[in-house]
Amino acid sequence: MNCQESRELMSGYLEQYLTESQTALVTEHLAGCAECRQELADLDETLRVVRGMPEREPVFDMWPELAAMCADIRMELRLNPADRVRRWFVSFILAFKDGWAILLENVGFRASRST
Amino acid sequence: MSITDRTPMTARGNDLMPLMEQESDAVLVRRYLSGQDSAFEALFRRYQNPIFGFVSRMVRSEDAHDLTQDVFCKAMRALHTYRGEAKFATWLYRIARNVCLNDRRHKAVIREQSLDEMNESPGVAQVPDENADVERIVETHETQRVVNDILTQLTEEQRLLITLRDFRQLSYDEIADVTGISLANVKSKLHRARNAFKEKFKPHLELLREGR
Ligand SMILES: [Zn+2]
Repeated sequence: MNCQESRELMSGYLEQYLTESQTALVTEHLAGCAECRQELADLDETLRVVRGMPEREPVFDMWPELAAMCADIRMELRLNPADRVRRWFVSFILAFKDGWAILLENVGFRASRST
Repeated sequence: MSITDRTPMTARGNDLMPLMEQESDAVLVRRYLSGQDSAFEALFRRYQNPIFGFVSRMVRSEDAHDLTQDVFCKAMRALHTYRGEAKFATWLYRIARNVCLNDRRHKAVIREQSLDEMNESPGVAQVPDENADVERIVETHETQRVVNDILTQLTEEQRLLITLRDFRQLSYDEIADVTGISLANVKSKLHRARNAFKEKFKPHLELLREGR
């Protein structure tokens, strides 16, 4: 086994998912190759650092907000198809109306009216 | 709404919750689908931290709460399609992966964010693991900053694989399931991702060793 082959197997070697014969070959190569031993140590230590990073957790209870969204979703899912289309259409029109209002504002609709 | 306006973590709304905490995912899914709405809250309580942990490594931390909620909204909409072949957690991670990748595709900002933004956003709590004896190594703020910075320099797929395996500790089979990448490819791609990470981390690793 050469260095490149041994390096490709290093994750498997550390996590012990290689076959017995692969493990034996890597072990044998490592015994005679200081550079690959260094590579293995680097990878091992780097992974320990990553895995030791503090867990990230939410800082507030997300449920109250989510519960409101869920209630909407349940209501929508329980509508019949025709009502669902109607509901979708209304929200589309409302979004369109908002978009239109913003656009008018941006092109100076108000300014031109006040002059 | 600012973060401080929101309900504290201790607030819990449901008296049935302690009973439901004992039940399997499959039972909770069935309960929800048969009309017991509170079963969904139990599923949320069970998986909010793993999903949040995943999402907060994949997107800007200021977006992590919103996107976690988004994941559960999508899960609720799709719950009737959940057949139970995959573990519920894996199924949920698959939704979370899609939500994060779609979000990043649209915003494409992850690389632009400043390091401090990612690490010190008030929206994310860092909870040290009491059992980790490597805490000594990573206790410095600097290391966290460097790790986060390097993650943003990797490809989206590399970041995804490292997050699933090395931050969330999913099995290789589960990762194959979540990503749709074959098991053999997960192994080789993850190894390449780790190598890319390791090379970028090397200068910092030297510093950590010198500091010991
Ligand atoms: Zn070698």
